[in-house]
Amino acid sequence: MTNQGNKLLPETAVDDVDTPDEVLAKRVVADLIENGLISQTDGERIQNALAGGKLDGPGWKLAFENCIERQEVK
Amino acid sequence: MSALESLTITNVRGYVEPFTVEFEKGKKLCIIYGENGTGKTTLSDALELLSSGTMGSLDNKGLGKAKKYWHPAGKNGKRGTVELKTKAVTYSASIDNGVVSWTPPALKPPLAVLRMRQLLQIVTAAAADRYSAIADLVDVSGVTQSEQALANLAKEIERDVQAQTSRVAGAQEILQKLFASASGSNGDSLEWARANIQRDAVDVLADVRALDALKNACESLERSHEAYSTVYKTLEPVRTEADEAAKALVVIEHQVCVADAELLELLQAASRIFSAHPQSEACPLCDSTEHAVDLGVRVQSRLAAMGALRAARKRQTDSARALGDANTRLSLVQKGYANERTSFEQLLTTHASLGSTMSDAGPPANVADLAAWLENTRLQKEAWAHQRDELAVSGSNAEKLRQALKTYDENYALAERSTTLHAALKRGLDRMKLTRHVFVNALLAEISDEVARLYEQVHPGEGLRKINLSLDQNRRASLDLSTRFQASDAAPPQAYFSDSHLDTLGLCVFLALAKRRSPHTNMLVLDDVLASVDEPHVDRVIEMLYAEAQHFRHVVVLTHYRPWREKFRWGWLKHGQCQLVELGKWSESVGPTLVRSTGEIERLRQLLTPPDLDGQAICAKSGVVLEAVLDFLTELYQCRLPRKPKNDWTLGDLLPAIDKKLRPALRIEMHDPAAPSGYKSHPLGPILDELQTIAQTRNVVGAHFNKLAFELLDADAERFARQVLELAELLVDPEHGWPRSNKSGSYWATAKDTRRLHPLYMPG
Repeated sequence: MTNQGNKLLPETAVDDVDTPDEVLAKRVVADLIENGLISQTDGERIQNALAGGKLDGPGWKLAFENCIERQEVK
Repeated sequence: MSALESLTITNVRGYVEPFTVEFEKGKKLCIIYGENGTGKTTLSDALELLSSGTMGSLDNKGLGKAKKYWHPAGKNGKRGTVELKTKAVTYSASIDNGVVSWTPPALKPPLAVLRMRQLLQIVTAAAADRYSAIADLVDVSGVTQSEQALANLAKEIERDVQAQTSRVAGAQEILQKLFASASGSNGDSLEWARANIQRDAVDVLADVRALDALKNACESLERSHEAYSTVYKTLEPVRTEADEAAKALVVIEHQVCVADAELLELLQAASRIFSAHPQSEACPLCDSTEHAVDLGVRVQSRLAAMGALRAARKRQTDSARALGDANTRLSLVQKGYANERTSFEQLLTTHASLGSTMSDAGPPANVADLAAWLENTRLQKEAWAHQRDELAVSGSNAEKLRQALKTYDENYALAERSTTLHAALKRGLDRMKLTRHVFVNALLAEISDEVARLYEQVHPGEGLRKINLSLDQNRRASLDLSTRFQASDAAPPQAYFSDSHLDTLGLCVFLALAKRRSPHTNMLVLDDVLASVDEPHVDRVIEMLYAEAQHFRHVVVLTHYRPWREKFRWGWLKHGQCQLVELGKWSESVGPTLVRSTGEIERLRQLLTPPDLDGQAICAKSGVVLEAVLDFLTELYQCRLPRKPKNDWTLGDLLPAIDKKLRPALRIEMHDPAAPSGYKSHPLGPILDELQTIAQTRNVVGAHFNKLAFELLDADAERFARQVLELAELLVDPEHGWPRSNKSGSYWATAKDTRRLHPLYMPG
């Protein structure tokens, strides 16, 4: 993580810590799991793509449909 | 980044000779003091060059390509180097004609530089620039992009639901119409459709196929009849011709009396000979000359008679063959008809359920009788065609019914599934938006709170505590800065704060942001950031920097603020956490120089080190140190002193101010791990008493030219100085400063509680 493009603060290299995207992605996934909208397995599967802006429509659809199917089976 | 050990700069701007700053172990704050023009800014430039390959101080100064000024003036060819040694690694950068390279490649120290002219920018920058300053801390564009994909998917599924629902409605309408046309009433068309779909679909199509087969069979019979008629019509003339040809042959055979055809061949051979030898005088067969005349003519005549016989025979043969052919065709027609008749009767038997007005008798056995039979069954054939057309319409409706029901069932299931999915997606999207909103606001609130906390340290009680950073809801990547001011909860500080306050705010924002960027591994360089801070706030800013420096790997403060140096020298600051580096005068040939910066008490100790004791020097220094100690004590206990215009009290004023009640009560507890209580007690009263008796030594020897000094021994001066040094060393911890904290409630303490000064209050 770097503060590239920052006109007010110079470039500063920092540790290998979670980016805001990564932290938020974790919270979003946890919230969706807690609310029964996706499964734990799918949550773990989509988390990195979610943080990286790479989770597309089919990816989302699969996660939600899997959860709906499991609920229907129950 | 591990602890810093040293920084060496060579051939960078004014640093024409190798210049090294050694960093003291365990001290996270390093103050580099120097008057203007001593090389402070170049030092921060060198660090910035090492970390990012730029020199911020040269930006926006109208220099164009500033890289050519990175080297010493007129020495662009000289290779410049900056080397920062840490415990773990040495960072090194070199510049050759403005090109920076690192050793090892791409290894740069993590540090951030803040310069005075940037302070105001941080606050007054456009909202977008301000956002870019914190983008790496709050940027969640990745999640936002994925969130947009989820929103798009929710819209897409919503459109699917609409399309599927529409198709269900369309299918229902078709079913209702079919139901109405079939039953003539309204009702549950769906139930009706399900009940009828199987029967209609199978039976109707089978009947249509059966009727088509009957129709085809009828047409085959008709074709048989036509074929028979055609053959029959040609049979009679052929038969007549055959009879006539036979009769004609009998007549001609009587006429020519020809025994057989062999004679004909003989005559034909003779004719060829007579044609070749027209003047022959004998019979070519027997060589007789009898009747030889005109023998050729006679042969020709007999051949002519034989030609009629040949023609008659050919006619008879041809007509007999034609008759045979006609009979064969008739036989084939009859045979074909027999097959068609059998097929028809089988079809009629198989599909008897279709109903028939036909008599029990099928097609006649003889094809010659077929015409009458066909005429008799014409009405039946028309009835079948009509029946077939009606069934075809019915079959078409059955197909419509099947398609409509299929469309209904498929789309009803899809619509149900899509509706469930859409509801889940919509809920997920709402949850995600909420989570993101809460997350970003919490991040900003944390930064805002930290800025406010730092700002409050510098400006306590000024009512400016509430500083808000908030994202502009209407614009992307835009950060608003506001404060509570007078009656407004969201006033822009730029509109109401003084430049000095805005500078302080800028410093607080910088520190708050830097603290969030892994501070324990980062190094901060603050270049002259105290310059615009007004006097009442400088001490608080310094205190804040002391406190905040502990959160970073290292903080280097470059300043020309002289009081800071003086306070450091007097031990008023926390030496244990802080190192002072003093830059001396810069020269063109040497560049910057280092000044040995020693504390006053340490300096006194050094002056007392044999062998070269200078009585005047040690008296002068010890007098100043004693005045500092007494100034501290009299202020701490609010002792009575004579009123003076400039409060320029002398030892003659200060020593008696430590009166007979206070003096015996004064004692220092020094931290001593060997002592049972952990502290060893030292009374100050005896030292002060002794000093009061010899204080004149300072004035006589150390303050002025005084002939009385001729009569004093150096030992008197040394005695005075050593008493002062003992007092000062008891009171002041070289690492943790003076006992200024009364938080214990029973004594005054230095930082880390290494010295305890009693009593807490002036005895009553």
